[in-house]
Amino acid sequence: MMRFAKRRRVNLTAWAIVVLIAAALFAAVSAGLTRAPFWTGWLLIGTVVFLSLYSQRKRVSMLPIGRAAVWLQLHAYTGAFAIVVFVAHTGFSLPDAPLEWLLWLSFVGTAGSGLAGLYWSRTLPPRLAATDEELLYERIPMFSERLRRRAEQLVIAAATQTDSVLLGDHYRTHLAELFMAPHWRWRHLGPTHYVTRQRDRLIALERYLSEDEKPFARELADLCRQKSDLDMHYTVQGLLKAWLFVHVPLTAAMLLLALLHLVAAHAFGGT
Amino acid sequence: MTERLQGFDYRSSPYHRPNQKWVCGRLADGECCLSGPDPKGRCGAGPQCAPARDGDRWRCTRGPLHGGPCDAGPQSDGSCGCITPPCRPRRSWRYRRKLVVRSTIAATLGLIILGVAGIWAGDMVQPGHLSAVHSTVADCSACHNAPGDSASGWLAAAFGQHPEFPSDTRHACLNCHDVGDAPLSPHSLATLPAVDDQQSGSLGPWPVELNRALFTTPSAPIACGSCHEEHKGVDADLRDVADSQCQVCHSQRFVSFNSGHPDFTDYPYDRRTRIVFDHASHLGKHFSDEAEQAPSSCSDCHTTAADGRTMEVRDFDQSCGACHAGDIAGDALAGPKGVAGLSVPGLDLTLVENIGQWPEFADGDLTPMTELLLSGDPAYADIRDTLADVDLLDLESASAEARAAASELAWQFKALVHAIQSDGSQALVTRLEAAMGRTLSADEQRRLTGLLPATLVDAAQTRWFPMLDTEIEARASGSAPATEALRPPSDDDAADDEGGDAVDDDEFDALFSDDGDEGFGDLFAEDSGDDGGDLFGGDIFGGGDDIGDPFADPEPEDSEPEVVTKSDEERMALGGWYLDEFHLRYRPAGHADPVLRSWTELATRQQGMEDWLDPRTPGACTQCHSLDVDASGATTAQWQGKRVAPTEHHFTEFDHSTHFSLLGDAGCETCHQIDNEAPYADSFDDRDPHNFASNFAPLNKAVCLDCHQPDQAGADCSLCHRYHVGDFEATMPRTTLAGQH
Repeated sequence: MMRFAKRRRVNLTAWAIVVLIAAALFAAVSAGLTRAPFWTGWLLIGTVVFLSLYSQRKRVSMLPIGRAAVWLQLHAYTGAFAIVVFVAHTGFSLPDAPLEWLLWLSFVGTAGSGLAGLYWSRTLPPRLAATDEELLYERIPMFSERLRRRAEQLVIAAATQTDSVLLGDHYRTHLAELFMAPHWRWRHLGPTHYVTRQRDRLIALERYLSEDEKPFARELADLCRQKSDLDMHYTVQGLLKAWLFVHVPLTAAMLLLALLHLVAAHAFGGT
Repeated sequence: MTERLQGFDYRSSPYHRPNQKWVCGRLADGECCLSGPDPKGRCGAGPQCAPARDGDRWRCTRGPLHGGPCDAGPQSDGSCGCITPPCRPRRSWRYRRKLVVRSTIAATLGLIILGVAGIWAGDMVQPGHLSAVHSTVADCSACHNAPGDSASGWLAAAFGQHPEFPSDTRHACLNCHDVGDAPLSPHSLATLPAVDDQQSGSLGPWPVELNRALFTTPSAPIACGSCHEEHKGVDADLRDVADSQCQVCHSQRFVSFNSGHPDFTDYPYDRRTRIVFDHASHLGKHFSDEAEQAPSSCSDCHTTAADGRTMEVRDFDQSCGACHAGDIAGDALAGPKGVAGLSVPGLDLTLVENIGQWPEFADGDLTPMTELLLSGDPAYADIRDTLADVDLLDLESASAEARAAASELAWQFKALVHAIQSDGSQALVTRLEAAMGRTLSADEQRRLTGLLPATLVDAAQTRWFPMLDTEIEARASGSAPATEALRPPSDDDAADDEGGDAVDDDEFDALFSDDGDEGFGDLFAEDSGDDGGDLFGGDIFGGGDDIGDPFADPEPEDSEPEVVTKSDEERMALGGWYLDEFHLRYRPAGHADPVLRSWTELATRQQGMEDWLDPRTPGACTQCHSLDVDASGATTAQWQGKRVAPTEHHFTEFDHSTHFSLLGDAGCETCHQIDNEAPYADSFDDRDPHNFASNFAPLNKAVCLDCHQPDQAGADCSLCHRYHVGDFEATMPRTTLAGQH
């Protein structure tokens, strides 16, 4: 098994060579009287069609057409190559007409979301793995509900066994909203692991609690941290799924618009 | 130690069908059922088991994933006692994404259909706004071979042939733009000029070299769009062409003007000057000798053209006239100053029979103009051939056939004079048209006849052939009169002359002017007793002898009037026809005389008129105006210095006016340095304009390179070179006038 760093170095080198060759060919075609946009246009649409095959690859997993990981690598590097071809095709300039704008925006949106997805899929999973346990996204609401019940049972038990409502009031005032449901919080995407404010408050509250209440408070603080991890999973996994809601539809739109562009370019490109 | 939230054993990890369309609606509450919704999204909740009958009892069969047999057990009727309450199933993430994709596709298709089906279809698919110069073009099909408003038509045009747009309309740019006879050929030329195929040792820019290695050299037709890219915005420059687009075809390889461009070998002197003017001799000698009249700077003789591109020679009066105006008038000539138009040929009257009267002292040759007029008669060709090597003044050794031809020549000349006298200028026109084989325009008629006065022809006839009418009639009746040498009238004859008609006055004025020819003296000298005195004194103005000279100062009656007599030649100093003994001469009316110019042009096209083009002939047009022979053999007189018409497009063009402010004290000599050793005059020994030696040394490329660097004044090919070469102008608008179809 090729180590990751070496694999990345090899892939980047291969990608750079392909880009250099393409750039040289583009310069050569542009140097002549051949109409370079037709060449780059066909190359671009071919590249985009190949990129779109990645999603189809998942549906025909029974066919021996390479591992999904290899396809993903091809998809990422080909996508980066498509961006280079796109820049060459558009001539480093902004569009100046409706269809061109739509096509430009769809490509930029697709490429941008793809780059963002690539970045997130490389940087966020380690953060997920750093938590105590890995959670299935679909079950997060269920786990959230389970945590809420545990927290409420804990608060009731504290009130019953210590005859103090201090912890209960604190839960009702500051923690109930936290345990209410999974929360999408942008701060979970930040560079450092977010520690809930509520947990800090519980630690600060501890000085006012009786010795009987303190074990309940510590257990409640652990539940807060667990809920924070759960929210982080919810946010990060949600983002890892959500970017595809931009990337895939825009790809479909781009292919349709590119088809119209192709027809128009050949219909009107003869003079 | 916190309790783990997720277990992966089969009891605590039920499958929630995330890859299916629908998931349980209570998944978010942690209470989802195991059955889940069906593929259509209907809730599958209900009994958690199907109780089994065990004897007379019902037994719970709930599975371990549901917690095993329930405490309540089945109902008495055998139904399950644990009913999972129904939920509203929710769409899975996967299904939601699919819906978003489908919605996007539908929206995009709708947008496309809305766009291409509407009247704005063309605007929808256009790749960008047109440049400002084409901003009025509203219909796509004006330039493209596809309809702008029909998406189905686009498909046909893109991948086949649209029936309404045959292939020969693909280059619609040419409907409005004229770029020469072969617009789609390289450089708009049907045939490229021969160039030195020897390639330079250097290479061009690497993209160009790579292009040449990968692709074949572009060949016709080269579409306009190869270089001119439209739809690049209002401010786009359609003529912006990259150097590489030029270099990809050219075998002479180099990187740029400042790197590898060949030195100028003959630029800009690719042919001799049209006006024969030796700069070296004028600057080195003549201007020193005539310092007062010499120009003080180049701009005294040269000026920029209206477009500022080329330098032109100022007109004759401004440039050459100060010294050479008299040359046109013939002031310095010792002989006659006018060009002989019609001349009585000298004949050996002792051996030419039956030609009637013929001036004994006529000794001239047939002038080119006379020959051309005679050649209007088909019979003249035979005569000319017969008399080709015959001396008409000495027919002693000539054959009888030649003598007969000389006789016929005499009669043809008389017939010519008779025709001109009878029909006037129309006879000249008729003869010229017959000789030239084409009809003359009204302007040509005026120019070529020089508006020859009828009275002058009358005078010539009276002097040359006094009995012309009688002789013509006699010959026509078959009895040609015998040859009779006609001598000028004696002094007595002249004294008897009453001076009753203008013709006689002209005749005597011309014949017996102050040159004292043949000792006859001047009939109108002081002692002649003629009151008329000169042309203006006789009956030419109808006033009779007693009128006297209307322009002369009044003289006392008792004193002898002093008559100052000038020859006709002198009196016609401002130009026009005059009678000089046996010649009707034309004196040019200064420079660019239309008559001499027209006859010179005619001489370049008409055989047998080579003598007219001799630089030593009076008028001497070709002394300064060079004669060029082109590839077809046609001769052209160059009446003007170099002029570049706005319609002319050359490979290399230079805008003089934009460079003037850059010149230092050296001025024009910064670029144009005289080569005193060049055999400039020899360039005009023949009529090949490209066989020449320039007065100037070739331009030095280094002078241009002082400024023309990529980061300074630019070094693009298109800065100095044009692609479309030829003579063409913008296509005129097709305006249909009211009532015309």
